[in-house]
Amino acid sequence: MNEEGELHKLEKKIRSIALHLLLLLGAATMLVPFWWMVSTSMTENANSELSNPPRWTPWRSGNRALASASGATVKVLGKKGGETVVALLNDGRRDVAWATRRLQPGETEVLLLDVGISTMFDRVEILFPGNAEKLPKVALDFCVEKGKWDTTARIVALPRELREKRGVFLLAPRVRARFIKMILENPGASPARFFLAEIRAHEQLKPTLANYKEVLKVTERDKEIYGFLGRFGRYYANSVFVAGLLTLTNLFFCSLAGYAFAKGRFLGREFLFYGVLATMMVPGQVTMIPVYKLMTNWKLLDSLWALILPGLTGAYGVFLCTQFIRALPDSLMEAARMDGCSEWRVYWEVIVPLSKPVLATLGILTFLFQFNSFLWPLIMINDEKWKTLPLGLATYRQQYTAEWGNMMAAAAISIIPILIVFIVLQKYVIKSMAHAGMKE
Amino acid sequence: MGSVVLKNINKVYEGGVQAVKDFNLEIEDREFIVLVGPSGCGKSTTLRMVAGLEEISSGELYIDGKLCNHVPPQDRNIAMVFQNYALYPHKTVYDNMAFGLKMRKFDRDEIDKRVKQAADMLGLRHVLDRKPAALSGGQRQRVAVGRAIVRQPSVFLFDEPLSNLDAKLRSQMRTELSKLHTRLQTTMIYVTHDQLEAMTLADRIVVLKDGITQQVGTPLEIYENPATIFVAGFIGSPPMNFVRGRVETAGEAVRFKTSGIDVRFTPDKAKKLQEEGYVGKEVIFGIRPQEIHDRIFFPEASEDHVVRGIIDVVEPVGSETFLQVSVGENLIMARMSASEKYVLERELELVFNMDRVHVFDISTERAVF
Ligand SMILES: Nc1ncnc2c1ncn2[C@@H]1O[C@H](COP(=O)(O)OP(=O)(O)OP(=O)(O)O)[C@@H](O)[C@H]1O
Ligand SMILES: [Mg+2]
Repeated sequence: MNEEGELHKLEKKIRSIALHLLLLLGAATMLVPFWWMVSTSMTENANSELSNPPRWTPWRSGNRALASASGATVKVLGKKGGETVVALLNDGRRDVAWATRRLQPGETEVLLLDVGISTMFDRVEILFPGNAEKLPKVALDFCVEKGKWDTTARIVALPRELREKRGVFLLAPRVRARFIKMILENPGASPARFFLAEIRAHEQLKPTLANYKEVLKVTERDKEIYGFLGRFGRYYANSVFVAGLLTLTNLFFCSLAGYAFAKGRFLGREFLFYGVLATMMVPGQVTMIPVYKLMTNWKLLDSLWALILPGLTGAYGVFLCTQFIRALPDSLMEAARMDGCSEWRVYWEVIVPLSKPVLATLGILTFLFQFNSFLWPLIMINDEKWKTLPLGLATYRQQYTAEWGNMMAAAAISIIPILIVFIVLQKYVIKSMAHAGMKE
Repeated sequence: MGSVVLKNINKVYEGGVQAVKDFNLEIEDREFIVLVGPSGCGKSTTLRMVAGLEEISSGELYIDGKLCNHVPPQDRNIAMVFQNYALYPHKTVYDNMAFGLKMRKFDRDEIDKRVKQAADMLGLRHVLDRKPAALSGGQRQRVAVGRAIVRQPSVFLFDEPLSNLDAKLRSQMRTELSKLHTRLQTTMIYVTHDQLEAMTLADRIVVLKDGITQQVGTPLEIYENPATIFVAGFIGSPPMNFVRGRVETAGEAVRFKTSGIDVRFTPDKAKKLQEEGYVGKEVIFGIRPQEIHDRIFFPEASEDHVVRGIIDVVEPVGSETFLQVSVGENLIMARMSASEKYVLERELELVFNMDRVHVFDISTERAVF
């Protein structure tokens, strides 16, 4: 008997452990994309990460950023006002990429390396093969945007001990650069020919909010188009306004209709209720075009009203509220009526407070749905000013050809309202509806 | 002020159920009326019509002399205590009680005064800021009563307010309600299916069955002179014994005869039977268990009142002992003193108190006496 009890306990324990493991696994799976979003949003230069194995943290050090360019071919793109423009080709195989032309004593050569999309450098390494004594004097400049050289990163020093390694280390503070200007100088007495073997950029990554700043930045031009909130702010405000308003109207109309369907006594109640339910069976795509036409007729295209009007209430919400309110005891409403409530008061003082769990659920669902809604705004809105966040994020993507850091920062900011709504409302969802004060 | 008059009230629900048929009652101010009857007899329906929660199909309802058929509940100056209390779960006890006053736009001080007063009266002072969920059944019941009291209505309605309480609490609350009525001096209409509650609380009882009023009267009237078999069986515990048999004459005497029973009616009852032509007819004979005695205690009892039987079941309840005695083909329940020991299968001589017997017409089920 006792042994059996022990066994039973053990079995229970194992079950509980297995259950927890499963739950943890599930949670982890759910969190992966979320974590990736947050981490990417805080990674500088996130794009370079995308091609190679995805990275999971915004922290890392080493020869990463330009490592893909290590040993790259440097190609002369052409001359530009006395400067030789070259590009790094990411084939990563060939040892010697490029040779300068022969430099006369005292002559300098200016190279402009296009490193593609703007990249963060902590340290740039340039390796020259051959005799250390014959090495040229090198100066580096980094350029973020064309024509704007970041002089603070300029380093001319050639540490002697490094020469033995047949390479030159050039140290720079954290610079973001699209171009590297390299100045080779022949200090010798005779003409010299230098071979550039490799350029390596080192980066030391730390989590950063730079992407967020970038997203939230309001330029003067933005102000002209989007108002004082700027571009992202405008999208944001549009979304919060539409989703917030629709959540309120849905809560109001659905609970009102739910009360009528659940407790009202009127002719055709069942018929109307099933009519409402039936509209749930009609797919949205079917009604899309007619509603679009309606909106065009009413001249509401390219305004937030086009997003608000069709979503004021919904069959699903009505259904949800009806089912919930139906379960509330009639006697409560009768008691309220005897206490002197008008119909409206009964709704407001009794039905609404007691429907909190279902209203919270409906609120979360509606807000989520409206805040993430993409297709309908895409059809209705062309004007930049009235775009909502999902639409805006999509434009980001097209515009910056996958600026992942920025996009993820934008996405991370955009989930904040959802989080707030959820945190505020979840306690009502979880709190079981205690029908205390009633004895069943 | 709190008179209620119901005139020819009928209630037919959608779907055709006639829950109340031709209900007539004049309730005076300060009266305690109890509607009693088995489940589904239309008690709640009647009460809810008075409250205005249910439409009156036909008939007239006057409250304080005013025709109220179409007055909405909030304008009737009536308060109701529901069977499940119907306390607002999201409001504190205080707010539950204050709500009706708030809705009627009383000023704050007045509300506070009344609520505190009611709370003191009902012993709820210390739970005023709790939610109903944190109350015991008895406390919830009191809050429900308190909610009605604070409004100082002209009529109180109670729909089986005690049915959710355990037996002990129920009897305690019953006394409290009785005291409350004395104190408030307000008309009360009280619905129950418990005849004990009806007997102890009521000034007048209305017995209902299948929507039809069976009898209206004071508890004693109803107990002593039940108008129908149904009332006789429903009021009183344990219920009255009913035996089917024939009224016969033997010389002067009028006797009731059936298997195992042959007893003689008292002269006045015999006269009534003869007058109304029941001699030689089948009737239902009724006698309460309390009116049946053991012959040991009445040795001088006339042989005309004695019935012999065999003890079938013995149910001692402490203060008394109930016996089921098989008399011929009939089973008779008798209440005996607890001091005597009764053994199963033993033969017993019972004495019927023939002053207190009832006879009912077999077809109309109405009482002859
Ligand atoms: N809303 C309704 N629709 C149709 N029939 C109803 C409705 N409410 C009650 N009835 C019927 O009316 C009759 C009387 O019901 P009522 O509730 O008045 O009984 P009651 O005497 O209060 O019974 P109980 O002691 O069980 O509460 C019953 O037969 C019941 O089925
Ligand atoms: Mg009832």
